[in-house]
This record gives sequence, structure tokens and C-alpha cells, in this order.
Amino acid sequence: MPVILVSSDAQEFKVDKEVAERSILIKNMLEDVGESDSPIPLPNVTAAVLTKVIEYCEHHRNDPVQVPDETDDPRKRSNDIEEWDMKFMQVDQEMLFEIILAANYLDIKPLLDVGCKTVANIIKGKTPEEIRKAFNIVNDFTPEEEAQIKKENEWAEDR
Amino acid sequence: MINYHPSPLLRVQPFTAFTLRDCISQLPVEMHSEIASFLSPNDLAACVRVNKTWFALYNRELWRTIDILDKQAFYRFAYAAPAALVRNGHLMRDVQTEHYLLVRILALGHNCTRLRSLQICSNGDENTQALQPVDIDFLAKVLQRNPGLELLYVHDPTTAPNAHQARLFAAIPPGLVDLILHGTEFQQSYQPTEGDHTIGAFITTTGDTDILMDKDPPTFPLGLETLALVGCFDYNHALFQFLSRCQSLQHIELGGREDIPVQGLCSLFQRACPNLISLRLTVPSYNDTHLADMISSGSVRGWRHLHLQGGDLGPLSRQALLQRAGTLESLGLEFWDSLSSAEIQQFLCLASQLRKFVMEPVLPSTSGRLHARDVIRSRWACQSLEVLKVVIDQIPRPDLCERTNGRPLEGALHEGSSMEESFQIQQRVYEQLGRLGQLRMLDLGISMRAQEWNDVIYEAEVASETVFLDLDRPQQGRQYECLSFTLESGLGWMAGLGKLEALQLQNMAVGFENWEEQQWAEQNWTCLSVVLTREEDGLIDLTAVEEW
Repeated sequence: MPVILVSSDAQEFKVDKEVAERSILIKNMLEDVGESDSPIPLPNVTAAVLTKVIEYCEHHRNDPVQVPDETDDPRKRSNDIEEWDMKFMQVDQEMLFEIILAANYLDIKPLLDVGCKTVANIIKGKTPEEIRKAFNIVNDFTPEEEAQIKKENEWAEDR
Repeated sequence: MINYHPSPLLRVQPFTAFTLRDCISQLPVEMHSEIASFLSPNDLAACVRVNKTWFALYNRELWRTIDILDKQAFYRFAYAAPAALVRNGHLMRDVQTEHYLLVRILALGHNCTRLRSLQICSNGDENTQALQPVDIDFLAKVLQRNPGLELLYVHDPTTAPNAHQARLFAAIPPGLVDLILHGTEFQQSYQPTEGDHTIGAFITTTGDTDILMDKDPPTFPLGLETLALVGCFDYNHALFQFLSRCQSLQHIELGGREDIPVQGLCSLFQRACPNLISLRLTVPSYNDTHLADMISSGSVRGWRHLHLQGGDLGPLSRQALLQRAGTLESLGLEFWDSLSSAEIQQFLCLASQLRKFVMEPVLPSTSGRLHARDVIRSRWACQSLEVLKVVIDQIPRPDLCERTNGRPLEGALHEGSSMEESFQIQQRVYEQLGRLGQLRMLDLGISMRAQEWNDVIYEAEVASETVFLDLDRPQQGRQYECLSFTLESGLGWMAGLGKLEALQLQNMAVGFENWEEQQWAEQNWTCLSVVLTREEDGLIDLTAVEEW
């Protein structure tokens, strides 16, 4: 049975239950409400973003459910992103930002991971100045402050 | 002024594309933690210099985990430490280093009070400070400041007598869960050597070092669950007093000394450690009676997990192991003279609770191996087995004749037997193995390079010429007379191993590299991710799933 999702700008999206349930938030809502065909309002997600999120969930509709592994060393997590996801994430930063927020709100862990990995991959190997350029960030440190921070953290460099 | 009303379609995309708002910085803090988990310390060090917002977001991630492994990183850390620790000490959770002097630096950080783990291990490089003894007073101070510490690991390959263990035991925080001390030597106050002068004066200004001097040892109970004392610890009153406080202890590892007192320990375990179920023991000087006492008395609940290495595993201790077979959940043995094939078979037929069985081959000894004819004699009871490591040999393999390296395979197993007989025996071995539906790891190989193998045989021959007289000396390190792992020989009987993740067939003469067998394995063993068949192509690291 299809589920109707309503974006913050009042657009309706008809999706398969299986696809909608990639979102743990929606899955829990459906379980609470029981069998019902009333639309589900998603006041934090715009139509543009919801379209992307649904595209992701459609593609990954048959993936096995991720079991969170607490024992994983977070520092040793893989940065690999599969090819389809990589293409899917080729969006401007505003959309990337919106997708991460939506994935967090809708509780879609794999999408959240892919979003965060995409940001991490932009940061990787860059100097502070290159990071500022990449994200259009203004440096508000004085040269002395920056030198002090650099000195304190030099032990972590080159690794 | 133009009154501009964008159409809904145009509203989002073109506008942001031109303004390039810094939106990533505005993600919630948790999202940045998530992003940081995919970054290296080097990347995090760049992030904290981006701007004040990013400093606030990423500095906590950078300082959460401190790995000071190389010398350069250590000196950089030491130089910046006095100021940096004041600002960041409260952020530190997990510290790992190969430099014992780091303990002194940590002791400077008055607000470094929220450590969860501290691991000081040696990289074995004699040119670093790693080999200097751990300075007990500074370590004690760090421990005192960090009541939330859960893991303390100290490794030091030096073996000088240890006079200061009592001071360390007195400083163990009540919440510590794992205490691992390997080959550790503690010393009261360490005199910096020439090479240390570069670190600066703050290292030598020791401050108050009398925190634990001349005080009675504490008596409050400890929360320790795992304790390893491997090295030259004195089994004196202080150590026994410490052990008697470890009432939550579940796992203990002992070794490194020849005179670890069996009776005293067993009675202490029974009296003070009601939850103790697991013992790892490496005492080469133990005789048969020592081992038998350790195996059969142990703790009040009896051992569930035993890993024994070294000593004389004689008739008494073998009997004790067989008596424990019904309750043991894991057993690992590494002895020159290990269980006989018949005893291994008897054990597996009795051990209904067994989840892990590791019979480590000690080359070139041929004991501790399971003969195929014993395997097929009776049905194993260990149907919950998850990890199995044992060499199964004495299978007729007339199909093998390796003349290329000098010696043809000879003897009754090769000449007097037929392929038909070989397949019959193999099928029944596969059948026995195939019933282990919970098996995750199957290790039938011998992981040793051909060269090492030849070396060990050569050395042992020099030491004792009798050992090898009847040894069927392997060529190229291959294990002959083993399962051939072909469909033709009955591999199909092992289709039930649906949970198998790792298969180790190193140095065996197997057909598992053939396409048919690989296809079959892909269809039947869907969880299989690691297969090792030869040392030469050991590209895949078995330790990825290894547990012992």
C-alpha cells in the first residue's frame, strides 16, 4: 500500500510503504498510527529535498537493514562511497546541507553517513585555507591565534 | 527599488548557487562529530584552524583521541604540552602512546581528568623512549585524577625485577574494567637520559611525588573484569591483597614468571573471585601436577574458558581437561606434547558447550593433531562450535606425488591406498565438519612459511636428533595427507556451514583454488569473506576476523 508524504511546501508524494520505511521516523509513525491512508506531514523537509531523499530510498529499497555496531572504532571507518551514491551526492552545498539535515530528521542512517562522508571527502587533505575556500568560510582568527593553535596541534600533523 | 517575486521553481537553486552561503558550518554539532569520525588527525588539525566556529566544533574531536606513536609526534606534543594541556586536557578521552615519558606530560595536565583509556605500549624500537621503565609516581598521579578510566594497558619488553607493583595496585581507580600489564617494569623515579633534554625542563621538575608513599594500601573493592599480569610480578602479599579486592574479576591472564604459586592462587580465586571463568596461562615451568591443579580447581564456578601454553601437559592434566569437557566453552592449547588424536576426538565428543577450540600446532611436533580415522569414529557433541582450529591429517592421498622438490611422497598412506578409500574417508570427515552449523571460522592449515618450517626442523634436529627420525618431513612446507577440498572428494557434505566467514587452509595440498570449488563455495557459504590457501599468496589477512 502506498504512503502519502507531504513536504513543508505542501507538495504530496506517493511512495511505496517499503520505500518510505527506509526512514525510521516514518516507519515508527506508521507503526503508531496503524493501517491508515492519511498523509504524513514532514514540516522540516521541502519538496526539492524530499524528491532527492525519495530517489535515494527508491534506489536502496532492497538494502539489508544496517545493524549499528557500537564496537567499531570511529577513526577506522571507511570513507568509501559506492558509485551510485557518489553520483547522487553531486549536488551544490546547499542541497548537500539540506540532505544531511533531512536524513538526520527522518532518521535514515545510511543516507546520513553518505552525506557526512561526502563532506569529509571535501575536507580531506586540504589546508585550512583550502577548506575555507571550499566552504566559503571567513577566517576570524588573528595570525597570532592561528599560530598558537597550529603549534598546539602539530603532533597531529602529517598523519 | 525593484519588488522582486521569484517564481517557486526558481526560488532555491539559482539563488544559492550565486551566494555560496557557508551552510556546512551551520550543521548541528552531532553532524560535525559524524563528519569528524571520517577524518584523520591531520585533517582535524586543519579543521581547527579554519575559523572560531570550526575550532569549537572540531577541537574536541581532535583531542578526544590522542595517538602519539612516532618520535616526532611525541616531541611536538611535549613542546606544546604545558599550554595545550591547560586548554585541551578536559577533552582527552583515549590516549595511546609508545613513549613512556608521555605519562609525565599527562601528569602535568591538571584538567586531564576524563580519560577513558590509557595505552602505553612499546614499538620495540630501542632508539625511542619506549624502553624506559614506566614512572610509577607519575602514572599513579594520572590514575588518581582519572576515576573514570576503564582501560589501562602497559606493555614493556624489559624484564628487570619489579619493586613498585604495590604502588601501582594502590592507585588503580575503582571503576577500571581492564588492566593489562605485559612485561612491565615500574620504577619510582626515572632519571632522564641525554636524549630527553630536548623535551625541556618541565619533564625534570617532578613536583609532588609522594602521593602514595608510606600509606596503607587501600582496601575498597575494584571493578576490574579483566586482568593480565604477564611479566616479572612478585607474587607477594601486595599482589595477593590486590587480587582479593578484584571481586568482579571474570578473565585473568598470568605468565612470565616461573614460580607463580598454584595453590595460593587457586584458593584465592575460590575465596575472592566468584565470577572468574576465564584463564590464560603461560608458565613454561609448570609440571603436570601444577597444570592439573590449575585446570581442575581454578575458580568456584569452574573455568569456562581456558588457554594454556607451555609446561608439561602430562596424563594428569589431560585427564583434568577431559573431565572439564562438558562445561568448557573455549579451549586453546599450545604445547610441544599436546593432546593425542584420540584425546582430541574424545574431548570434542564430550564438549557440548564448546564454542571455540584452538589446537595450535607447535612445529615440528606432530602431537595435537587429529587423525582422520579418529574424526570419523564417533559424532562430535560440540554443535555450537564457532571457531575451530585443528590440523586434521593422515588421510590417504595417493593423488599427491611431489617429486619436483626432491622427495617423492612415500609410505602406506600414499602407496597402499586407493583414491576410492581416500574419498570415503574424506566424505565422512566433511560430514562431521558439515554438522557445525554455527561455525564462523575453520582453520585446518598450518600458517608457517616453508622457509621457517625448514628452519625450525633444522634447529630442532641439531638440538635433539631423536625427534625427527620418523617425521615425514614436509617439502615446501605443504601439509600432505590432509583434506583435498574438492567436490570430487565430497566437499558437498559441508554445505551446512552457512555462517562460515573465514577459511584457513594454509600450506595444505588443496583443490580449493579451482573454479568449481570456488563457485560452489560462493553459492553455499554466503558469509565467507576470507579464504587463505597458501602462504605465498597471503594477500588476505586472516586477522581481520581472528579472535585469539
